[in-house]
Amino acid sequence: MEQNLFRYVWRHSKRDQLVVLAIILLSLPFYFASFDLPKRILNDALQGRAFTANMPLTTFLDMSLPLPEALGGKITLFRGFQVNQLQLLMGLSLIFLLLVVINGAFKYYINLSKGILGERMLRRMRFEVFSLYLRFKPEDIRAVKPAEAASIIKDEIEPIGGFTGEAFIQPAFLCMQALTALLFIMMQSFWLGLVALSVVLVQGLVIPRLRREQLRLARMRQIESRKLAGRIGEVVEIAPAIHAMGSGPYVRADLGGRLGTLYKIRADLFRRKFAVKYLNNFLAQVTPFFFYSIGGYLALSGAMNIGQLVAVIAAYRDLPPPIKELIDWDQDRADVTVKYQQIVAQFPAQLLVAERQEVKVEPPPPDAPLRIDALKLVDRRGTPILETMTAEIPRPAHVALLGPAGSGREGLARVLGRQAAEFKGTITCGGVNWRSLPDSVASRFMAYVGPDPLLFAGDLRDNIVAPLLRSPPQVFSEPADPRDRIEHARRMEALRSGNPAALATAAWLDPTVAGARDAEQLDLVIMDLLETVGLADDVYRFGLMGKLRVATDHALIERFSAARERILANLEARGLTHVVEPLDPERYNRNATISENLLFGLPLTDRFANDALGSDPYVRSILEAESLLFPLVQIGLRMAETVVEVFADLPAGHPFFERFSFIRSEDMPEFQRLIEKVEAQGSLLRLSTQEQSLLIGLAMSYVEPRHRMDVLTPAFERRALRTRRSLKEYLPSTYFADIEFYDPHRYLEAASIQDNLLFGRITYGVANAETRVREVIRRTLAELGLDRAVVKIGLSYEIGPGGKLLSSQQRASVALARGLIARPDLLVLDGALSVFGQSDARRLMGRVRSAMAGSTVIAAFGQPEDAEGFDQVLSFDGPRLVSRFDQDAVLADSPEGARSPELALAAEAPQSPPDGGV
Amino acid sequence: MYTSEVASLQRIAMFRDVPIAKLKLIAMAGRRVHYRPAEVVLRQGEPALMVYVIMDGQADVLRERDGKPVKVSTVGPGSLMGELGVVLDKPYLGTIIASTAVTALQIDSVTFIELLSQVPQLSMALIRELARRLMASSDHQAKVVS
Repeated sequence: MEQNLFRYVWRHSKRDQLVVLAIILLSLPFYFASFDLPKRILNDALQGRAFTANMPLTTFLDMSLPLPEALGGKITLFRGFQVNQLQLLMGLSLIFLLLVVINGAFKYYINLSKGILGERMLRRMRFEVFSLYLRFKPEDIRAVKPAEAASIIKDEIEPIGGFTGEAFIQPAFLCMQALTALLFIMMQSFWLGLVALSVVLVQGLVIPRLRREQLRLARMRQIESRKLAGRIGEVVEIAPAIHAMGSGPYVRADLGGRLGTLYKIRADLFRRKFAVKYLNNFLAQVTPFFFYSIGGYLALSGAMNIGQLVAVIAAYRDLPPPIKELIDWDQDRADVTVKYQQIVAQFPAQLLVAERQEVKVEPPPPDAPLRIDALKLVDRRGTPILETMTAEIPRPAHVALLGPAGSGREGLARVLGRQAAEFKGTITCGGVNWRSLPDSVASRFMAYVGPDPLLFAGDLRDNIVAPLLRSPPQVFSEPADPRDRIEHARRMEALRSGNPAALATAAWLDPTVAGARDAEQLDLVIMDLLETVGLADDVYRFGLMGKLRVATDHALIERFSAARERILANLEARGLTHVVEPLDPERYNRNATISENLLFGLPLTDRFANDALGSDPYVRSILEAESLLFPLVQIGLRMAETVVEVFADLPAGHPFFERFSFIRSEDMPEFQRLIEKVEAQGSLLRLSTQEQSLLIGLAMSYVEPRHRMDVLTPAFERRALRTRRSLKEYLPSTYFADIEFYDPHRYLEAASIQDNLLFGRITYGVANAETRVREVIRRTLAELGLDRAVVKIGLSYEIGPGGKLLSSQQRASVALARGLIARPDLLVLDGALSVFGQSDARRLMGRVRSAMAGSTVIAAFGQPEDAEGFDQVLSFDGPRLVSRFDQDAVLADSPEGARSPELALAAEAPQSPPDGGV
Repeated sequence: MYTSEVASLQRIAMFRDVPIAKLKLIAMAGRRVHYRPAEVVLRQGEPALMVYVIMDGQADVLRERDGKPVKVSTVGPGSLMGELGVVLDKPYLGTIIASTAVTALQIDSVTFIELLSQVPQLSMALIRELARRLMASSDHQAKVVS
């Protein structure tokens, strides 16, 4: 990035700046004329100096070109009009009005140009800084705090962008305005001009010096603010750990201290800023004092006429604002220069991967061996991660890198996967050097999957197909439809700001990279891939849990509605009817929650959410009428008691809360208090309505076979059914939009596809019920050609920021699918399967290797058994490559052979456990 | 809540010293499932994805020998099944078939491992149980040798 802000701005906006400067020059005569005109109005029109006693008329608007006598003397361009005193006054006033309009128009254009220029530069700078982050070396980008980077791009660049629009225009404009005013004053009275000039010089020299401290404070503030943003981001990220450690007070104290530092800087800044402002205002106001006293004296003594004095005072009124603004501009200049330098300092050249010219580098042929020559990798503290090694890896081959965690196996995998740039030695493949390999070429033949699946917020499909977004759409400044002016303007503006003209929504996806002809075929490729990475069942489940929109998915809804009958028939044919309890309007469904049974529908808004039902006046009145309020409070209390007992000694934020508790950890104290209150009072009746609502909210999620408290008596069920009928029958019209009632004859938009297909609940307690029912659904939908639609809906499952809504295994599978989708010739797996159990990891690796048959897989492992079946094994002891093993050698070398007799017996024991252990 | 599950768990030697609150946590994390007579609870060689505690009924433990299933024992209420496969991350080492109607508490392997890692009393109990089996196995081998 350019080190000097002004050079940067000039380089990228020279043309626009020059145009605006030319407009400023053009505006000056009009500006000057606006000073001169009041004098003429006062002297010529009002005091009548243009008229002599015997001449009631004078010439107005006469125009002539004064030329030397040698060239013919004065040339008259326009003789003008003969006007009387009133007509002259009106004429001059109209010209004054015209000048006001013209000067205003110039100002408008200049301000608009400044704004647009600034915004354009802001866009360019944000884009460049963002691009610079993408160019960070892999080792360095990991050290960047995301919140700090966001703060730089979003907040710190903003004022710089705003300034860039004014970088050249503002001083030019203001200087010319000030000089014009000063020149005018001097032309009226040299002495008054000198007074004005002296004040300007004091302002121009003293104030910037006083502002230096302001700048230092502003710089400190910027650095501290950035640190604060980074710290807040960090705390939010590790918030559960902070809860668990009980270090909240310490973290709060730390943040309080930082906020205090910022306050102190800001307070000092204010003191300095307003002191300077005071001085500035004083100097501006003291000048008229000289004008009134000295100018008045000159007018009284006849050295200057009143018109001149009025014009001087009027001109001076226009002098301080440009001077003040010039000083402000200089302050901004110094301020943003510092900010700019601070930002540029974030991107020293040594942190960035050299920008590789997109020269024509062809990916190496798939059978070109990998030559590793004197490769060495050390960490930032100089500790070797990989000691100097030289090897040749034949391709295609499946190669295992074997060694303990932290050994050279990880270092080599990272270098081969291009995740470490600071290595010594060379890696070449088919004449292509690893160090000078552009991303665009590397991504065409290789993929790396590391231990941290780096997923982004979006749906599953977006994350899996990300490597296929590599076909930048050809976008020219001219849109396909020349009449589309908005699109044309958008593209032009993007190019002017150094941004890409192509939108992310354009057709970036190239299905051919995945071996598919089109999007339809790509779906099949993805489905295959899901099987390979063990994600197919999960995605199918997501699909069945997905929802369809009546407005857009009409055709699919019809097909799924038609599938229900067939599924129910297939369930019956397989003797599984008892496994699904249908949602019958006349029966209590024991496998559904109490709220589902009461509402017999799905809430569309929060009004019918479980925790709101107990406090809703309408629902509450019906529950009261059916005598259900008290039993529900009782159920809620028993559930709360169990949770408090079970989770009492688990720290807040413990993962078990999320998985098994009916109560969120932050709500635990409230429920604990309720339980104590009931115990102390010996009755539920004294609980307030709000407290009862809390317990009712808990009870609403109760499912008898799941929670197993034996509270659902036939009487309770009868009353629940009466409540169900009453709720629907008397539902106020204002509630209509809050619920969608179950209706066996209609597709329910608020319900999942599975609920629509079964129109019932899978019975708890029947062994493998869910698996067996899903199997029937899957087969039936496959027969009806709807399975692909389900997978598609499953792929649109939103995975949350960083894939937080997925399990760690699912995240790893997505990362693996992403690594495989572009059919790489070389796949580097570096702890990519570490979240799986050993047997799952082996099965998964087997499928990945089958998918990569004929291509190269380089996988890092810790256990020798994992390397079974690989063509070659490179074994590491610490950072050192110790040997290459063939498969037999690996197994012979396994620690199994050297285990203790006790462990050997333990290993044997399961083969014939004496008491039937399996 | 979970009274019958807790009672069944308390019948298992390895869970005898585990506090009731933790047994309720196990019950909460699991689900109660029913098997009809002759229904397979788990099958030898299949991935060990679940652990079972029999709460009611009897089941036969079978092992394949020379390709044929051989009944090696019968298990009843309070028996823990499938835990070796889950802990070792190996396929089930035997087959369990309900010989009467069986009610069991089913806990998935991920939850079981999580419970072991998060509840120290449970992991200690399992270590003790495995050590006991190791000793029993050593005694058995010693007898065979002698």
